[in-house]
Amino acid sequence: MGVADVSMVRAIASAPSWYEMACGLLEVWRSRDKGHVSWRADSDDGVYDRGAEWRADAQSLVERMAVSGPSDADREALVQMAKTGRSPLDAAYDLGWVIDARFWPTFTDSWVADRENFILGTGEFFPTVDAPLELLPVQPPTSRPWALDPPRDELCHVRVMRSHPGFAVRIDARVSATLDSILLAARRLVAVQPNDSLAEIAVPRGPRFHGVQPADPVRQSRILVDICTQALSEAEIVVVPECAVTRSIVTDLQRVVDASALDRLLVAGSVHETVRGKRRNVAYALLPDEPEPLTHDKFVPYQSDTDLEDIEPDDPATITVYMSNRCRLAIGICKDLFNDEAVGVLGRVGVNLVLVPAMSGKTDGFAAQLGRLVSLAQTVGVVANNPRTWRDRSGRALHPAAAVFSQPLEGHPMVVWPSGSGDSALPPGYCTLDLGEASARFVHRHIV
Amino acid sequence: MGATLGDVIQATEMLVQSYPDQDGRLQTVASLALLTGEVAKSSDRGLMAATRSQLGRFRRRLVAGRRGEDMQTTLKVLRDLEQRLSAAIREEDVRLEDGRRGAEITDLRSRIVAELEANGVVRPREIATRLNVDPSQVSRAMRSLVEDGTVEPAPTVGGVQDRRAHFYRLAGVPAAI
Repeated sequence: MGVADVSMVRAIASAPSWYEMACGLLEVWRSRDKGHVSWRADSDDGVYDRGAEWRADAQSLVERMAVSGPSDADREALVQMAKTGRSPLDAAYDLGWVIDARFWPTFTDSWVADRENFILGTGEFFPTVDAPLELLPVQPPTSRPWALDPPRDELCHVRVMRSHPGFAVRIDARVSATLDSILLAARRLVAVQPNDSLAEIAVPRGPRFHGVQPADPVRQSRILVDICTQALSEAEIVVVPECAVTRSIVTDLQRVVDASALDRLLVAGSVHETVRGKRRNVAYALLPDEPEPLTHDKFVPYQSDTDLEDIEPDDPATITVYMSNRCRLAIGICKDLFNDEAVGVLGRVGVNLVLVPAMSGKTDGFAAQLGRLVSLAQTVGVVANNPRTWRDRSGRALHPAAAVFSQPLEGHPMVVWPSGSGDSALPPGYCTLDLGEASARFVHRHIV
Repeated sequence: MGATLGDVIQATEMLVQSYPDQDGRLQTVASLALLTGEVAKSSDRGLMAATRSQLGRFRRRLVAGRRGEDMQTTLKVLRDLEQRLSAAIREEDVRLEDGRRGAEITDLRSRIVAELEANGVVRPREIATRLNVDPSQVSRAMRSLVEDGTVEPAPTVGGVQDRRAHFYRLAGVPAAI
């Protein structure tokens, strides 16, 4: 047997799971002489047809095998199949694809079975998923991510981590079961807008500022508890804007989430705070009865001609991808979403839900970046923006969007403003995106 | 009537409430195991995921409550039930995926028949190129069409047999060449 034969047999015979078998076979293919011509590229009709026939046989064989993992008999049958009528490299590649096509829904569980929280290394294989949109009671998605970005030295659902100098990607699967329940059931997503004007927010003046927070935390807590209680009764996922809370309000909102009988996810906005001696802008995502909230550190500070948000991001910054077997969740804060490399990383890792608390006088750029994520990974996205009214340098009122949503079924992002017009103050409220109907609406709350 | 998410929530609430009473606890754990078994057999992907999540949630509540030295057994049972549901969820996900592929093959069969009606004798490779699908999918669909007698192998165009490649036509329809 040649080296490739031995490698291929080893990849099949030693793999404890379908995921590891697919990775092993992919590794054999990737070790080939780059001059190797596969049957797919072969101009000889007979070779081409036999390749397709072989693969059809392999599909039939694999469909009779158990989901729980390869048995010894399965391994033996696959080795025999791989040794018959193909070069070991082509057999490894095609068998990898066939295993991927059938067993990819098991890949993530296998991947994180022995490690739940780790940095994804450059060159490491990782599983990606099709967005679970077939579970929605609407039309199927237009295109699956791998069809938009056909893998060459990868499989449909097994990718290789590229080098991203600006970012480390942390994989966190500790709350996988809860996320799986919430994200697969999610039909409605809410973006909260608790404040009408900047006067309700205490903003320290530049040139370097930190400590933006609600001007009246007690009133803000009352508003957010009311809105979030209502929103969580209607929607599975709720996002509160950037710097709209304090740590004390985060605790109040955790109680709201815990009181819900059903699984819910609440991104409780973000807080300017000092963590281990460093000034941070941290978003907290709350799950029912989960003692440790999911967190995200903003890595792109707000900056204008005169003012700079005074936070100290890590270098490289860390993007945490919260993972369930079928879903990938990431949180960004406002300007984070404008970092092209970050958006590329999120798309590459296959993040299919991105939640973004924001505080911005302009919201047009969010739609473009969310649209890019839709095309890269069929990502559902929510930007929750606050407050409703801003002022330009001449004092003229500006009303940026309260929410920007992306959803892959319609393709284009949806931008939502509060109902009501002019510069008169409006009560707080929330925007709801209904994924099934691909529609959005704003609801005001009259809070005493 | 199968188990519902409400049943699971009720049973887990009882588990939390009955904790100081060992008999009540054992009874509740047993009924939770029965419910989980029903849910695992239900083929309802959403219910399975929600039930697994509820079990995890109440396990966390028990841990937070720190009640009793003998909690480890209960926690282990809950974890085992969660793992049982995880395995059932993986099975269901693969079954859904099999169903999706099966639907694609059914759709592909009718598109192949339309190609053969329009073009007479055709090679699978040409069909795969025209329909922009993987050739192995065409091979599988073509096999099933041959097996049910819709399609048959054909000599090549002009009666010259190419021994390397396969040609097909609709059964009982002479090639229009």
